[in-house]
Amino acid sequence: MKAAKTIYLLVTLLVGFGLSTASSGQDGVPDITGYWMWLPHEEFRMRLWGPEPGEIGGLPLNEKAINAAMAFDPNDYYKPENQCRNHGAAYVMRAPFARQFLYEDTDILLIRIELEAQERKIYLDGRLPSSEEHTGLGHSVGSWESEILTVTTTHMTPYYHRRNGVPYSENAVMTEHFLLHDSNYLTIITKVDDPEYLSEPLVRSISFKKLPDSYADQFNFEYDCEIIEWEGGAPGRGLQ
Amino acid sequence: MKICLARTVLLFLIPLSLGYSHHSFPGIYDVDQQWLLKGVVNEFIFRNPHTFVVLEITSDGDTTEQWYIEMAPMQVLMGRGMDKNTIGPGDDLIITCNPARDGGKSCGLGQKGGLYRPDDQLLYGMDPRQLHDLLNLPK
Repeated sequence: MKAAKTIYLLVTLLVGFGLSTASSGQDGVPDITGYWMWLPHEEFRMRLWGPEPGEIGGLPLNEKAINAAMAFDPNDYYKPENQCRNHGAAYVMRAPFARQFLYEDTDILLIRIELEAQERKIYLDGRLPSSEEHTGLGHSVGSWESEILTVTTTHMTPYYHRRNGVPYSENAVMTEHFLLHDSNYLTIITKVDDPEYLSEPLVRSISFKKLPDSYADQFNFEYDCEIIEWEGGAPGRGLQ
Repeated sequence: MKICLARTVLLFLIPLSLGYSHHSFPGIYDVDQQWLLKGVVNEFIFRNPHTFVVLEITSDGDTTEQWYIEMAPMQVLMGRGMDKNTIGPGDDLIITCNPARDGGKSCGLGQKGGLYRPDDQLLYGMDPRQLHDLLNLPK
């Protein structure tokens, strides 16, 4: 087990080094590669512990979204089909833990999200999606404009802006602007357009702090999820 | 110096991540109530998206109930040095947690939650001395 972990770390380091080397080909743009730890400066309680049921203030929701959020049953998360459902693209960047940014090649920027070991691919060549299929992370295309990376994500499956059932639809379009502050801090300003649920675009920001490369030893990019059929629909509900 | 600063931030931020749950914690559990449960472990379910301790609680002399204690994802517990063998069937545990809102027999390890051996050894969560003070419990 220890040997396996050592090999995993070695491979991670080697692969990471190789991919990071590819970033040297990104001339004229800020170096966004490396490990970044979430900063809980905004919406700490909601991002870590989660919102209270019905806590929907501050979001530009239309009536349909409000009704959906107020009808949301928190125990839905215990349904077999939802237990291992990963957070969607328009939410997952707000979650805790670290991120790793690295280039797969000159056309693809990877964002590895420690939580749930999700990997976003940002296509820098503007390519169209290979199919009309929608996925949790959707299809993301990005380009550097001056010192800002702008990413547009479409083809997402419906998910939540908050973990109390505030929804976004499959037609939502997310625009993210990634900007660095003196290379140690990263802020992502996010705008979500979704007329099905929003009365106007939802604009928020999140920030990260750069970690040393040695964080590779701690970066946990393994995630297995096991579904349990809970008697009564949730843990402890079917007991006498 | 940069590395020292980064480590400081890391040490600060990782504990903040300890309570993270896949679902909204206050959505499932009543964070205004803090319970103290004592029992014997039936099973330690070490899996994602959440880990559970299945606890056999004896009350009123001979009545036993099975409770599910929900905790953070595996990787969070592993970050605190726990693994699937840290807790096993037959272990006596003392647990402070928030009860389920809907009256189900589950309790979540929240912001002030903790998992302790009877000798006050903290396995996970909040320092028991802080908690005893908080709840005004006998030490």
